[in-house]
Amino acid sequence: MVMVMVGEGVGFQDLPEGCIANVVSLTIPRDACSLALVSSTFRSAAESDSVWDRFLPSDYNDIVSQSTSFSCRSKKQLYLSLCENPILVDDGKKSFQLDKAYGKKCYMLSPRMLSIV
Amino acid sequence: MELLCIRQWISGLLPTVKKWLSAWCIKPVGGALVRQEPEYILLALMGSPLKKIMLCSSEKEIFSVEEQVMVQHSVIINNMIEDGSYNHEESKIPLDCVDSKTLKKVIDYCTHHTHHHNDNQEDLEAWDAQFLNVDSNGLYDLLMAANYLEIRNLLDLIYGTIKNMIKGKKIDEIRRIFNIKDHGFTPEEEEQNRKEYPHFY
Repeated sequence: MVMVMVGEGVGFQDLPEGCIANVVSLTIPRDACSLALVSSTFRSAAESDSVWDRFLPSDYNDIVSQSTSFSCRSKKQLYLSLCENPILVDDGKKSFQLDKAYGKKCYMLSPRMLSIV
Repeated sequence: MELLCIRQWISGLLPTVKKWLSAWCIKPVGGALVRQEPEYILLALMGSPLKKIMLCSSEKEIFSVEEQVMVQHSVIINNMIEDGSYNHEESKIPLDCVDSKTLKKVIDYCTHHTHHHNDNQEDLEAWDAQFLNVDSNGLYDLLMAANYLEIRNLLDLIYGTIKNMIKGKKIDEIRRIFNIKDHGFTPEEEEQNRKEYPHFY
């Protein structure tokens, strides 16, 4: 456990946005949304593509390419879209979405996939 | 990459050299044999002094440090040595945005991690925790220095520490921790945020 004593006159409010983004990307999606409320610099960092790229699953390109209806302006939009709109993958045998708070993958299997041979 | 090949080659030679050493009862040179790395052992046997480089803080104080230590940790310094822009005979590397106190700490970190990289994880983490037992000003200065020198493992350590400082905290407390007096939102935006997400404040 690292203990840091909080003091006056800290320059953290002057931290470059890139550094703040690096800290935010170590948290979870839910915390990133709350950190955007701290300050305008935090908001800019917390909403950056570099942060939300870390929250998306590493194979998100493969998953998204299986759906035709995807055009998002930012990685955060893509993330939220994957949370709110399940997409069909694997030739329609499974549906995929992300858990909003933690970014975990959620699959729903169609009855065909559950047949026991 | 080259260092890895050289190290492997030296490691291969070492058992034979060690056998000769013990047969001839040769004592280590200057304590260098205390270090584990094979190239240090061989250099000690050859009597070669370890190459040093000079770093100059913003307060114009010169710090002499083993080249290998800084090259292993700082991408910036590694690039300077590799592309030949650093001349060992005459040059010092000016670090105008790092003060002496911070530079000394950065050097301590790099030196410890080079010489103790074989230590077990718990010991290294305990050392890191003690190393970062600083006030927020110190932490900020270390972050800026590590960022400037591109010292990846120190940066990751500091980012992880900052993340733990703010984890689970309310917005008002995070602002106090970071001494954020002006959050940069308009009064309307701030009011809207507080109304929409009261549980975060």
